Order: sequence, then C-alpha cells, then structure tokens
Amino acid sequence: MKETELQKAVENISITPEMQNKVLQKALFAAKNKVHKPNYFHALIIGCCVLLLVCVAVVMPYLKKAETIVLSSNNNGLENNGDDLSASLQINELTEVPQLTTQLFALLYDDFVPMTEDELLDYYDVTFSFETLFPQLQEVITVNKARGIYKRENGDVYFDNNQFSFLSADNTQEITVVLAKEHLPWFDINTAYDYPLLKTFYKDIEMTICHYTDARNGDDMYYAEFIYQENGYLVYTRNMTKLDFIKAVDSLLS
Amino acid sequence: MYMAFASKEKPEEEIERIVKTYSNMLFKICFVMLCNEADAEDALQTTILKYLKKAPCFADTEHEKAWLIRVAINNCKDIRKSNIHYAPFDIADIQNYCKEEDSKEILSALFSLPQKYKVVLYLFYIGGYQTKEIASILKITPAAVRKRLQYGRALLKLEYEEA
Repeated sequence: MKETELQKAVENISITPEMQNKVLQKALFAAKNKVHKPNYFHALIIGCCVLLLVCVAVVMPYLKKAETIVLSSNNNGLENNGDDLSASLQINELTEVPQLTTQLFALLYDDFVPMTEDELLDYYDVTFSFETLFPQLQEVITVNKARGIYKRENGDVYFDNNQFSFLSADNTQEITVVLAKEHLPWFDINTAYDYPLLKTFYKDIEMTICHYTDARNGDDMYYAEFIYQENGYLVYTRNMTKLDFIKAVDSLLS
Repeated sequence: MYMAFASKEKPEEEIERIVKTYSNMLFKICFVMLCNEADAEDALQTTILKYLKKAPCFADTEHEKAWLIRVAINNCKDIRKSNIHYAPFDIADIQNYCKEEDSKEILSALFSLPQKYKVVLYLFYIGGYQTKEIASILKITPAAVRKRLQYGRALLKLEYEEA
C-alpha cells in the first residue's frame, strides 16, 4: 500500500456542511452565554493563587510533618546529606493491610496473548535495574503463571496487568512491580483503601506512597503507585529500608 | 505574537474562522480515531467548546493547529475510555464516505488498528508532521513515535492484505 493511496482514502472523509453548521451554531450559542471577565479580574485571580501558594509553601512544613528525604543524583543511590536533589515525600502510614484485589473483569481465554519476559519488557518499554542495585535480589518468574495481555479481535488491549518480582534467596526481602499501559493497573490502593490518601510528588511525578506493617507476618511494607511514561506502576517492597524503597522507585524513573 | 481570542476580532468571527478552517481536519482525525460519525462529531464539538472556554493564545497558526489536534485526540481518548464496551466500527460508516473499493479497504484496515498507531500514522502521512512534531503534540518521545510508526505500518499492511 502506498502513502498516496492512504492519503487518497482518508481524503474521502470530510465533514458535511450540515454538521459543520451544527458545530458552529452550538459554539456560537456557547460563546453568547459565556461571561467574559475583564483582564484585571484574571490578574487578580492569578495574584490570589500565587499568594495562596506562597502561604502554603511557608506554612505547610510547620503544620504537617512531611518526611523529608534528601537524595543524591549519584547513581550509587541515596544519601542522607546530599544536596543535588531533594524531595519531600508524603508517606501515608496505614494501620490496616490494604486488600488489593483485581477489579471485576471478564477476561476471555481466547483474547489472551502470552508474552515472554523480553516481549513484556518491550511492550512496556521498560528495563529493571534492581538486580544491580540490590545484588541480594533475583527476579523470580513463576512458570505456572502465564503473563501476557488480553486483546480483542479489533486489536484493543483491555487488560494488561503484569507482575515482575525480585526476591532474596531466603525469601525475606522483595521488590514487586505491577505494570499496565496508559493507566494504573486494575487494582490500586486509592480504590482499595477506604480512607483518602495523601498524594506526593517525586521528580515531578504525582504518586501515592504508603507504609504499613503486614499484620499477617509482621513484614515491613512500602508501596507506591504512579503513572510514568504511559505506564501505570504499582511498586511495593517487603522488609527493605525506606531509602532502598525510594532507590527502587527512583530507578524506575531514570 | 499571534493572539487567537485576545485579538481584536469579534469572538463570533473568531469562532467561525476556527470552525471553517479546522473542522474538516479535526473531524477526519476524530473519525479515524473513533470510527464512528456520531462520536467524531461529539469529539469535534467538545474540542471547539474547549477552545472557547480556554481562549488560549498562540504563537502562530501552526501552534494553534497543533493545540486543536492535541485537544481533539484527548477528547477521542476520553470518549473511548467512557465507553468500555466500545463497539467495533461499522462498515456502513465507511461506505457513506467512500465509493471506491480500494479506498474502502484501506480505510477499513486503518480503522482496525489500535488508536495509538492510527493517530501516529494519521499525523505522519496525512497531517504531514515530522516525528518530533508528533512527539510534541502527543507528549511522548520521538523514539516512541518512530516505534509506533514502525508497528503501525506493519499492522496496517497486515490488515490491508487480510482485507
């Protein structure tokens, strides 16, 4: 198929004069009903917003005990007293173990497209460096659990949650990442948890970060969820320090 | 600086200019993305209304066009998201626009592609944009645009041959 054929085919699509007129009339009607505020009013609103932001920036640190972790941009990781890059992270301390269950989805067996590890990494366009950052961890691929995506006949992918787990040899430490394209994986803490959770920004990316103790076994858990470069991420660490957790999240954003 | 709504033109004339200049181009994009005339009309209408509401200022007409395309694409995505059980496209919709059999098959193949490939192919081959410009419109990396173009071309070829 040639480029010109494609162009010729698309050229056939054109808006009808009736539809164009309808769109125009609706727009004109909307414009007539719109109240135009004078420019000084906009300036006043912007001024108020700036003032409010300054107040929030000055007052908030005193009101909230936001945890401040100073990070170094050095690839070797994070330091407590570096000054290259710093971030105030709001970590939600949870008193209950969140039950992250997959939302109800009708997954049709015929739609399933199995994928290998490499195909999945290519699909999400990601690489993991956990094994370099944390030599005690190794990726564990559960052979019995097929990974892949669910795709309709028309090519639309409707379910693509996939999990990547890295465990220590004695199974006491863990980093797990669940990925989905273009949205958070279909179980996220903001929908699973009953209480409103504070969001925070790390490297200009909005994320929800939580810390909790798994009451079933006493494991110390950190959890983050965010969207970055068209992928939704759920990341949790088990029995790893806060700095290691942030280091893990940081490595995903590099 | 090219000022769209802040110009001396009357808003009504400005709206008329926008609708007349861009509605056909935006309708094509929306129709290709949504494969449905009614939804494409909705997406187009919402784009024009957002333009009215935001009254943005543009550096030049290219900037204005790129803004409208981005908003239209986002509207199409919103429409698709709001309808989980989205019906596949109806061949009758294509027949209204195409008389030649070849063109029908090409459009049918294009419509069958996933949205992210369709939009990149459209902007590259029909819109005449470069990969860098597409990256800027879609807010993705130029590498991602090239990758989508590559996959999109392959998929389109496959769909066309099957058709």
